[in-house]
Parts: sequence; structure tokens; C-alpha cells
Amino acid sequence: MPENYKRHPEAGELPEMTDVWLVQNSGQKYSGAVSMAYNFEGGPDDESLVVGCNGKSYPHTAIGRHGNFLQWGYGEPPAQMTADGRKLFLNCVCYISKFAGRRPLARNQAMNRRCAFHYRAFPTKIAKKYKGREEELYQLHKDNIELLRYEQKQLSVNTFEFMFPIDAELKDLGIESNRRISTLEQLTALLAPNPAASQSDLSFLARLKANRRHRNRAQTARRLLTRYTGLDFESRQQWRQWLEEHRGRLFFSDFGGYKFYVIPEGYPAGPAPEAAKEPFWFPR
Amino acid sequence: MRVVDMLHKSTFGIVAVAIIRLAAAGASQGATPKVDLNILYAGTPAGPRTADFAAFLARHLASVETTDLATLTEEHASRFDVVVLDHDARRPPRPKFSDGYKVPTVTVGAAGAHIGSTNRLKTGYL
Repeated sequence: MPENYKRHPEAGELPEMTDVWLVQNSGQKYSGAVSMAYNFEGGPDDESLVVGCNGKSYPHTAIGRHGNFLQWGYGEPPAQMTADGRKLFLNCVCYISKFAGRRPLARNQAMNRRCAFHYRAFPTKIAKKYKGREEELYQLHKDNIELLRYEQKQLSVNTFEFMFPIDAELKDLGIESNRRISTLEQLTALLAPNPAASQSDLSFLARLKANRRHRNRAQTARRLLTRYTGLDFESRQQWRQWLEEHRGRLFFSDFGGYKFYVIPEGYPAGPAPEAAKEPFWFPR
Repeated sequence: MRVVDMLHKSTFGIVAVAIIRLAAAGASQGATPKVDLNILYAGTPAGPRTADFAAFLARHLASVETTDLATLTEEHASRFDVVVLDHDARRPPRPKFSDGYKVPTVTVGAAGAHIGSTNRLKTGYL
């Protein structure tokens, strides 16, 4: 295992020795580039095809596809590729030719939530609370991985700070994930009229409290629907209609800004949104 | 970011089959039949790397045209089945494509990863 791999948690998955397949004879230790493995979410517009041995960490992508773009990460020209490397390159050219018209659907707006563990980028306030108990901090975020979001703060022209807070608002509503279709259904249900409003057996004060609580939850639900779809409908009926119309063609993307996207008509849907294959590594 | 070599075991089967078929086709017929794809290679104009890629691709694919990556246009790219974007300068050009660009495109090496970053793709530079 390369020494640089051992600095990152993903190395725990790897044996000390492993077989590799040679693509190029570069005469250097490394030649080319890899892409972040966690960018590839198993959605309708992406594929991580080959993992590349690299100078940073496992399991980043040497050959990957996003829409109609295929990145061949190896840096050497054909004369320096191995015979099998040349055949693989030709295969890649032939393979991507099948994706005419299949543009990328989700462009980069955020980092995948797995980066929280790779970079240990937890919110400062929580990190301070768990100082000296880093493993508990790690476990807290692992337990809440379905609710992680991404926030980025620009510090200067070329530097920014990023972190992965847990969506406390979703959690307070009793919702377990921000990336399942059922999340949208649960939030839409919270927009329904308050049943307590018509209950004559409740006292006036009880009805008032129930109404206020319901109104607050409905407002939060509407705000979260907008957060996770980028849309802003006025009424519950409009949200329900949109959900019914697009339910079978929705996918969620961390990379695309922690939002649901609608797969356009005629664009192959890929795996079912909630059955999409997870990237290679998951925090332990 | 740098990479040398590794083939993930879960994809090796698919790639190995494709390689074997390509090799078998060549072995049985003597000359390997060319794949019916018209390629545009956009790289360093008149450089040895461009000549290497162009010659290699021309041996296996129906036609190859070369052009300068720095002056590539979407209109020019749209006339081909696949476009290969490559460069060996320390600061290579990073063309920005429109959201509607749909031509199958291979981006190569570090220059390709930078193009991915410029276009906000998942294949961007780590």
C-alpha cells in the first residue's frame, strides 16, 4: 500500500499488498490525474469506471464518466502506454461514443457528504464540544450521515471554509434522511391543514398552541422542500402535483448541491434513486 | 493529482472481455478492422504528442482530424462522433462548454481533469 494512503481513513479497507494492472510506462512515479471518488454517486449521469493508484488516497477515480464526458486520467501518450493500456483507451473512446446527447445533469455545487469523514470537516461548534472525543464526534456524524448537508464560507478570493452540518430542522420534524423520495412525501404531508383546528373538544388555548405548532412545522417543511428541490410552490396541492408528475424520474445529488433533480424525458433513468450503488468506500 | 495504474476488480471483467474481443478480431483477420468513428483530437498544434495520438487513433478508427485545443469551438466539435481533449503544457487551455454541449468527449490526463473542473464536472481535478 502506498505510504500516502495510510494517512486517510479509507486505507483501513485495503490489504498491505494488492494486485495492480499497468496502463502506462511513464518512467515517473505518477503521471496524470484522478478525480474525487465521492463525486460519482451512482446516479443516471455518472460512472466511476477505474480506480487509479495515486499520490493522495484511495479510492479515487482514474477513468470516470459524467454525462457525455469521459476522463482518461492517465497522462502518457500511446507510445508510453502498455499494449493493454492502448486497448483500454480505444475501449473508452468507443464507450463514450454511445453517450451522444447525454449531457451532465448535476454540475458541481457542493462536496459529497463522505468528504466530511475524509477531511474531518465537522462544524466548529460541535467539534469544540467534542474536543478530546474525536471518535465520538466521528460516530455522531456517521450515525447522522443521511442528514448531512454542505456549507461553504468564502474566506478570501482563493480560500474557503467548508463543513458538513447535520440538518437539525429535518431531524426535529422526525425525518430520517434528506435524500430519499419519502423525504419529499413527508414534508409535503406537513403542509396539510391542521386537523386540530376543527376539534371542538380542545380548549381555545390548546387549539391556539396546536395551530401555532402546526403553522411553524408547515413553514419549516416548505422551506426544506425549497432547500432540497430549488423550487418554491405556493400550495400543498402544487407540491403534490409536482411530486406525482416526477416521482419516477427524480434523483438526489450531493455534488449537485444537495438537491433533487428531474431526469429529462428521453434521458435513461439509470438505477432506481434509492438503489443507486454507493461509491466504493463508506465510513466505518 | 497523480495516478499510475490500477484496475478495479469489479470493472475488470467488463473491460477484459472488450479487450479480448478486440484482440480476437485482429488475430482472426490479420488487419484489425477500423471502428466506424470519426474523431477530432484537440491538443498541442503540431506537437509530437499530437502526432502520437493521431497516428494511434488513425490505425483503429475510421478518421482522425487534429486541431488546436486553444481555439476549439463547439460547432467544430459537433461534426465528429468523439472529441479527444488533450494538452501537455504546464498551463493548458481550459475550454468552457455550454450546458447544452452534448458531443461525446474524452478528456486526457491532468489537462483533461482541469477541463473537468472548469466545466464543473465530476471528472474534475482532485
